[in-house]
Amino acid sequence: MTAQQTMQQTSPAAPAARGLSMSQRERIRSAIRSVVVIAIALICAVPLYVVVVNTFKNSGDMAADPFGLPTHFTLENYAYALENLPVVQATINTLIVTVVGVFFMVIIGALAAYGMVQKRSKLTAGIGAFLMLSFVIPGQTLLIPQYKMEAQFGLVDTLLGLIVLYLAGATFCYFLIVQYMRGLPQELFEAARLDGAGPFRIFWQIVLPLIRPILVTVVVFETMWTWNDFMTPNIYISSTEKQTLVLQVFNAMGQFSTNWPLFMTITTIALIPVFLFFIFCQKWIVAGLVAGSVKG
Amino acid sequence: MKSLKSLIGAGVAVAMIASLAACGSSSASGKTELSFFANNTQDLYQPIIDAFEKKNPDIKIKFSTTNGAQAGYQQTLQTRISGGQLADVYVAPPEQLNDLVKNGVAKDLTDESFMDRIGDTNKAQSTIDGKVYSMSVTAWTNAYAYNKDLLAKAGYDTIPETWDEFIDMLKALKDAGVDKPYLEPKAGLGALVEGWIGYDSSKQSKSIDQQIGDGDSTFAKSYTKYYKEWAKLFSAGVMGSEVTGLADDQVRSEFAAGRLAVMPSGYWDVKTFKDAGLNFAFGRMPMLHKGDTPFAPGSADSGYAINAKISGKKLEAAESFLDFLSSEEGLKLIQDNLGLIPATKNYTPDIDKTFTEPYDLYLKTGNVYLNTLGWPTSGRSALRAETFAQLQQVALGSITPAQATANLDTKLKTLS
Amino acid sequence: MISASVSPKAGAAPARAIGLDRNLEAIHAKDRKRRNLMENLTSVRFLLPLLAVYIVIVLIPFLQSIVFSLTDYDGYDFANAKFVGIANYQAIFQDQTLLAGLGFTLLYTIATTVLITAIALPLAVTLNRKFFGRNFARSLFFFFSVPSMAVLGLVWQYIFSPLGTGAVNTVLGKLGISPVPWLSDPTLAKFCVIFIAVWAQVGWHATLYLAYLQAIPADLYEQASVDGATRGQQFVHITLPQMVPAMGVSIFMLLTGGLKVYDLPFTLTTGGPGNATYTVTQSIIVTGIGSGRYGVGSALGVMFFLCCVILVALQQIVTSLIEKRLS
Repeated sequence: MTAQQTMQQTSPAAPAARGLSMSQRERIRSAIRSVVVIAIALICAVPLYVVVVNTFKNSGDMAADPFGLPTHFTLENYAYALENLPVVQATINTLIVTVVGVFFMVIIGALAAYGMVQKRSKLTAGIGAFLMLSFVIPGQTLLIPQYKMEAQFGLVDTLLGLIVLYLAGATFCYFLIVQYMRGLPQELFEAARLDGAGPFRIFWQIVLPLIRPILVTVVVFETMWTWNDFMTPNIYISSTEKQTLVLQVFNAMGQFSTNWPLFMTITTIALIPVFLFFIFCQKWIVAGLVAGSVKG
Repeated sequence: MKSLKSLIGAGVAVAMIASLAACGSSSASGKTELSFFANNTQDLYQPIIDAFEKKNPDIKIKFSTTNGAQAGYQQTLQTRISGGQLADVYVAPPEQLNDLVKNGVAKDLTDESFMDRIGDTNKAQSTIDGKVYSMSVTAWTNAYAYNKDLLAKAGYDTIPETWDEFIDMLKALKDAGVDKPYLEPKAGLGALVEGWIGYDSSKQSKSIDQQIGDGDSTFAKSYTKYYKEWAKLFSAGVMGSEVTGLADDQVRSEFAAGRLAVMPSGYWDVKTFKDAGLNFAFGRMPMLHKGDTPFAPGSADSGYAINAKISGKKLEAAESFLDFLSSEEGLKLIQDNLGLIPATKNYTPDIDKTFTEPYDLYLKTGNVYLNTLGWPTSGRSALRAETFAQLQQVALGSITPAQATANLDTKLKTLS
Repeated sequence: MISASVSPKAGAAPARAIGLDRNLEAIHAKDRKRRNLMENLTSVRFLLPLLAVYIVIVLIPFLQSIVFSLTDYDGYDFANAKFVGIANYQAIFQDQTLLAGLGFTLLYTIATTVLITAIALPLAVTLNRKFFGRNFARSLFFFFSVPSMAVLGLVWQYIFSPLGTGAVNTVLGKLGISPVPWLSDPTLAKFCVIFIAVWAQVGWHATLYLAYLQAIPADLYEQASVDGATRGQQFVHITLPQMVPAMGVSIFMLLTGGLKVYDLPFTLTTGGPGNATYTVTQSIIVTGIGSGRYGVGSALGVMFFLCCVILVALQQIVTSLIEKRLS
């Protein structure tokens, strides 16, 4: 099933779209919506625009007109930043940590969510409430206990150590996924079970496809969070060759603090991979869920 | 579901690469590896490390650093010590020295041969119960950076001696069309007050802040008159309350852009301002009365400490590293790369000519003062942050200087 | 028509009706019991990895910090720490800055929760309708949440600079308006922090709502259209009730995230001017952990945790009450 088909079947606008022809009124509405929403989106994007546009200017140019297009277009900032920052190793490190970390936290979270909706009992309700506590524990107080623990297991200054810490994000995944699952018709799971499918098969073949919209949302969110995290690597990573990209960005900020265009360039460089990832995921965010199963 | 499977495949593959990478990183060379934890970036320290490794081919320095301001460094240092992951050689901030010694992680350096080179002021700041625990080779002082071209507009060529004259100059600059004659960053408000307190303290047996820390005096009693003087900046209209929203970098950018006439600064800014192509110099920080000995905020820089838990070859390597850092070659590299001013007996640094006035006035004489050094160690950073928060409220006109000092006394009580 | 909240037991009900014989019923009862137990075991098995992660990475460290909060631990070597009872808890109630921090933290939490919910929900509904450039708009709104708060804070610092050279003030200056003291006025600074937080998070919460909107069966709307319901009626009678669970999730995230806020105010204003944008978390760092008073910092964290638990429990109760009324 292609993305477009899926979209048509689930979108509330679908009934109209499926009609013989789109009514005139609907067409005008759609046009107004385009103009208003895109205008608001563009206004909101101004800060990001300021960041990107100033990467192509020099300091003087930027001071004169921070919002305007560059009068003397220059790529010097990029050349300088790439030359002076060991970004390649840092990008690899960040990729490893992000991909492995997010993969496991989402799987762990999704598994738990499935276990939770499978059976509602006092036991699971208790566990659910217990897990919710993690959202209100201030992370600042965990700093030293967590560090001591990682030090005991020799995980300090390793990428694995970072990944282990990031796994705490699984509670977040669990929470979002379980709430979403509770909203789905439970007959779907029941039906599969009556067919004699084992719980793990149901999980892989029925549950995961069903919760794709929330899965994508969670994956994207956790990716952003892991990619951007500065505090954890700053404390745990002491070897240069294990630094993450954001760590490098902050390093550079210290050096070029009065050179705003350069600072913004480094910020932009750190964001490019996330941006690409986002474009890649966009397809799924738009696609939504497999409508056929819901109607089941 | 194809995509999901390939996603899992990719995840597993990356996990394998990660574990392989972790295995491959152990080195097999016969060199002594010395870990070094510093509060500045690697690109600045690299020339120093390179020079040391060239001289000591059997030692390899493993550099690490942390980001953020000094508070960030201190917190990371503390966390690493709590987990037993302290580096062999590390930078020991004076604020933390007490805790470091108490927890037995700073080696006693008193009898090391290289300590003979260290100046007395720097030694005194690293001394606890008669023993020296860190080697501080540099010192810092605040000074006023001024834009010569802008000052000339009002007919001035240097910073005047007294505070009232200084405010008059700022007024004249404002009249001459300089919109922003003077700005202080929000986390550095009232910096020069420390110079005034330093001078008044020099006439007493115990510094004013020590008296406050010991409970012999209060902020209300001793600080109010200084804060009142400082608040003249606002009543005279030469500095606005917008300073409460200005970070350090923003003030520096204004100066570098040639729009700001005077700002509190230091030797670390020389390069930035030169790169900006400014016609500038560093001058004195005005005193309250004519004839007062000039004092400025400043102190010895954080020293280098050796982890008390290392021994054998590692300890020897650590000692030769400190020996190198305090040698003429090391000091010159520190000055050139880190922008710090050497303050040792064995080396007279070449000071950039824009900075000679403050260097002669403050560092040569040792007439520098830092209020936090007199306060109880556990509350220093919180109390310092509180002084800025209080002065911001004075700047906004929401409290008086007297209320600010009273609030500081309250805060001090909660910290002890 | 499928209701979103069909109970899992619904499927088992017909089976009971078939059981006419008492014996059969007894066997069924036994079966059910066994099945219950089995189901319990399977579901717990799925929960195990998460429980392990949670206990090891979050819970045990937190229990440790509760222990720390009863000692004078300085954050270096715990062997040197002494038991001090509740002295740390007494100390934190004497601190005035903490109260200021609590005030702004609550304001921030409530303001961001209300504003983001009020904007994100209609935004998501709009983004779920068809229009030209929809995918582009979706991407853009989501992308605001991408850069880290720490980086954003620095950029916004430049945009909202109180100087005439700040980005916004430059534009105002061209319009002949004198510089606005954005970050140097207590009220405006609070506004700026909240404004930026809303800006940065609205896209993500809209995406979250979008995921839920996509799970509303299209039949519901089809049916409603056939019955002649207008767009507005559809929104009130179908979309809103279906979105209650999503709102519960989103508001929960906003509340807990808001209470724990640290990065944005810290990078943007460092808590200033004065204490205008000081947060509780900053207090934990500055007066506790950063000052070598880890015990006090931990005590502060524990107290804050208890307050948050109460607040969040209230929110959960309110949400479930609304859900019950609607279903």
